Amino acid sequence: MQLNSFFYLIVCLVFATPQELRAQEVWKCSGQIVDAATKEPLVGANIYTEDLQFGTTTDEYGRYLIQVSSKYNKLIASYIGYKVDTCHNKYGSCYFELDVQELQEIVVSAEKKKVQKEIGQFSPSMKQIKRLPALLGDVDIVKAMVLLPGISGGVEGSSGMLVRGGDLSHNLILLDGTPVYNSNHLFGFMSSFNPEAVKHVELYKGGFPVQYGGRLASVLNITMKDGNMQKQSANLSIGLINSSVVTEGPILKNRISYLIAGRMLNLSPILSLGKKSSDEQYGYWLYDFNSKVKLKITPKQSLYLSYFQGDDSFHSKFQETDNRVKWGNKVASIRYNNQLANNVFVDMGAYYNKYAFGSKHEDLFQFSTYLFSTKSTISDLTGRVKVRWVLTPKFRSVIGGELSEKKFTPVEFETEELDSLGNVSASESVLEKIAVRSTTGFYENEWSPFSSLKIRAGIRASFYESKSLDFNDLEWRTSISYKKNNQTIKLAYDEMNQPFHLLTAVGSDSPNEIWIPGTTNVPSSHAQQVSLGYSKDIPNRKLRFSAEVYYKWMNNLVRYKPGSAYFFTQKGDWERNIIGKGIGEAKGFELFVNHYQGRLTGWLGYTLAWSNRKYTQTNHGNWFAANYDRRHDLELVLSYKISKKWNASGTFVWQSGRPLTLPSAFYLAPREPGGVVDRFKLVFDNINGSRTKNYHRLDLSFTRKYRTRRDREASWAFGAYNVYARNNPFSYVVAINDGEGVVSKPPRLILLQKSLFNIIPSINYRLKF
Amino acid sequence: MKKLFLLVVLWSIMGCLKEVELQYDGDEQAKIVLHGTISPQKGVLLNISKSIPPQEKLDFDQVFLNNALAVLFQDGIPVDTLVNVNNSGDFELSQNISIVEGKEYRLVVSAFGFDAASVQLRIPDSLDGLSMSYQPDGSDKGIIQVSFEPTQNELFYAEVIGYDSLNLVRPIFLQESSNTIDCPASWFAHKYFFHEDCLHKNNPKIVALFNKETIQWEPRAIVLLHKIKLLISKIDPEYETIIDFSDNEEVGFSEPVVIESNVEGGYGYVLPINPSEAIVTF
Repeated sequence: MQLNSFFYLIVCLVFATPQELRAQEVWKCSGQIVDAATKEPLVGANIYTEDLQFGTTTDEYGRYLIQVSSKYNKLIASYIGYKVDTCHNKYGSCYFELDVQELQEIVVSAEKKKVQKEIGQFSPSMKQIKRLPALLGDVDIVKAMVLLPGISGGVEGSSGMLVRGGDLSHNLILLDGTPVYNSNHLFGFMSSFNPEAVKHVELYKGGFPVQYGGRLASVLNITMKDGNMQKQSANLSIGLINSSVVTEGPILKNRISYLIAGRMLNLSPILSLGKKSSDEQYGYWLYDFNSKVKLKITPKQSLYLSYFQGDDSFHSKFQETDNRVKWGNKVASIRYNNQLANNVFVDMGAYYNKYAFGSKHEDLFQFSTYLFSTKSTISDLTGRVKVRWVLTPKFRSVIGGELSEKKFTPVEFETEELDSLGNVSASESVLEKIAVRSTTGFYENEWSPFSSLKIRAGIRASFYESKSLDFNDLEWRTSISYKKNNQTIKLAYDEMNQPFHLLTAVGSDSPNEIWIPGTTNVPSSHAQQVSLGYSKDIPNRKLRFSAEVYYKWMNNLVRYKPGSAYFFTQKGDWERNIIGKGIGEAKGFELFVNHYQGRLTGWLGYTLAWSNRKYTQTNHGNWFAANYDRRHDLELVLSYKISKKWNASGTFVWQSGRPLTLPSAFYLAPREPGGVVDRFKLVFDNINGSRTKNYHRLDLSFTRKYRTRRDREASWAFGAYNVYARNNPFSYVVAINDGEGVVSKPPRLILLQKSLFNIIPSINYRLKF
Repeated sequence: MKKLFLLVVLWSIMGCLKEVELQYDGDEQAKIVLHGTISPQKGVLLNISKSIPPQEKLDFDQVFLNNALAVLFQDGIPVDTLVNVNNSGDFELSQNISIVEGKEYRLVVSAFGFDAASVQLRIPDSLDGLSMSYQPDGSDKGIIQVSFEPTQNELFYAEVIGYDSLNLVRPIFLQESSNTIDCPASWFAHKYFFHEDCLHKNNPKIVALFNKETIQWEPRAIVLLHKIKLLISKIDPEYETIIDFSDNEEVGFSEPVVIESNVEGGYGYVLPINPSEAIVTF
């Protein structure tokens, strides 16, 4: 099929109207599925007819819209871990309150009838995530995602996520619908999301719904708990190095609820061990804070207020030099939703978020003090609306739009020199702010001409306006899936644009992230992805199998110019220090086998992938492997219920080495033109031309649940990360060993491998009251 | 007890730094390395050495190719064979030959056991109308104004040398005042690179302004100067990349640079310069 014909087909699907279907007699139903005890909406719950001819899932508010033929007289609601419920009310809404189900058999029957997740989409339950072994016992949502096929992590221990050959910045991470620009704590070793406050996690790596945009590789949608509408409760979690508390409850029973969650960690006592001299001091602390208020105005209308803040601060002092690095996010949002009719649902809101990264450097001299500070920020004020409606049992649509203003400060740089009296004797500053306004509209149709066939087509258009540049982006997305006898086959085509970019220096172990807007030299990055997937459920064996292949093409990618780095961007000429118009190619095969019920549950994931980049301005214009390209990636995740009280979990990860740039030679060079050749220079002639050692690791954990004397739920979790203490590579340093002045040891190139962790035991205590 | 607990935690999260085998997937052979300048003022100043492949060690007695044959061609005609002047690989012209601006030069270097290396370059035109003046403002402060006729899309290399009675000093470009240049680009030692779009917005002739008070001598003691010398030359933009990396590689933040070299068959960079000079005294 020619490309033009293909787009013509998408256009027809996007703007199709289901005239022939409107005449049918239908049962229009809408409502909500909630936990009976807490009235907490259940995200991703299933609602379907008994013969599975019609079905859908609940959205992030636990709401659903469905139309079925009038021949049916009941709808069934199910959610993993809950009792199944039915509704016979053919003339109004069906509001389901599901009870927690302890009996395994009924849970199984609920799962058997589950409306299947789309291929390219994962939504592991928080229960599953919390059972996984975790670094220092601290459950991490992003690290759990990395255990799924098609997704790999950054360096050892990091909370970075690389999806289908994309970069770290190519993931749209949403907290209650609001983008979070930096999702990391502790130099990337912890994600910013408190698992105790999270209700639902959903990840898309293909087949993206049109309401999501602005990133190239994936969407991670994290939904916080709304808060218990019935009674006050709290969760306390105490780990080896950090602790968290979550409290929730009704402000007005069944009308207004709240949730407050906080975590903090102070590593300063550990970092100060053995440092008795006041000349050498180190400190590190971090915290995050979540809060949410839900107001149930009517059964069909709700209002949500959310706020999240997280900060990290690192401080080091060595003799007369004092360094401080601080970074953090602030996210505030207000959302209102209204179910206008049994087939129309409106969701609108506004949010403000800000990410700031800054550093301060202070040198104390005998007669003066030199101060150097940098800051880089991105902030975003956005208003948006989304309308979903179901026109017929076989046709549903989504339409919406966003108005947004983003403010970038890639460079805020200040130096001051103070004399011995504290007077400023010299100062210098550079501040650059760039505002980008955008208008986005999206529209998507989903059509099921037969119960086994589903076609989805959508369009997303964005217009950007800034002082220096106006541009627009258009994205087409479509998918077709066919399901028969527990087997599904799906073909998807997605276009994604990213109008702003993240610069990170690969050679650094420290945070150095700078968000920059699209400019004339570095316009929006663009990606096109085609994916084909097959999945099969084998209910009698409680197995689900899926396999996917994908091919992705990216252009207008951005990176630092060779030799440039964060410090150069501080001189007010950041645009001169980057190169754009890079192209990228990613392709791969993903396999996923999930045993989802029984005493032994878990999955096996395997990914075979390639991801390459090409820039005319570097590597002699040749292709090179992307920074985290890994050929093979295998994950085995198992959880075994030993008894009513005890549970064991294990994770094994094996990955091929990641790319590494090694020098091909070194030589003597002058410090300046015409100067004496007295310094060594390394020759790098092939970016990422070598590979690190393979990575593998085994983690184990054991959890004991019990009830306290006061009949409260409590658990102890004991675990170990990297059980067999493998020294996996974290980073490499190429150095020239000059023999430390020993003439008998002539200079030569050496490679030093830095490994972060030995075996790390962990212990965690959780109490619910 | 608390300290013991913290020590256990510290041990467990501590990794290690160990030397591992450098496995470079290539067949890298030693190559000729050329560094130096060619200018009408100083002729040819060339250093010839060899590169060290990953698995070899550097021997200071062997690294300089003092017996290399270096021939200079002007517009395709050989005009001189350079002579080695010391045991550190330094070569100079053997005859009193004029290096002329606008002419094409080629250096061909060969040595036993190595592939020949060569450099093709053109001597840039000198700048027109370079001048520098000092404008006292009635106090200890004063402005040093530098101007010349700029050309479009050029990268300049400036060497600023300040003299007090004893020492060279390193002046600092001003950025905060509205009548100064916008982006002095990178500095390297007492040398600067700047681009034509960094010129003064209202007066394109002004390329740099110095405030006498901010001229400092390391370590940060303010000194009084009596003379500043400025050398400016147009240069190849690729050279800035090399210097950028040299300036930044010790910081540890930069990504490895694929070496850009103008030496065909070897490594290094031979810079054609033609500096114009201006001096101001106070």
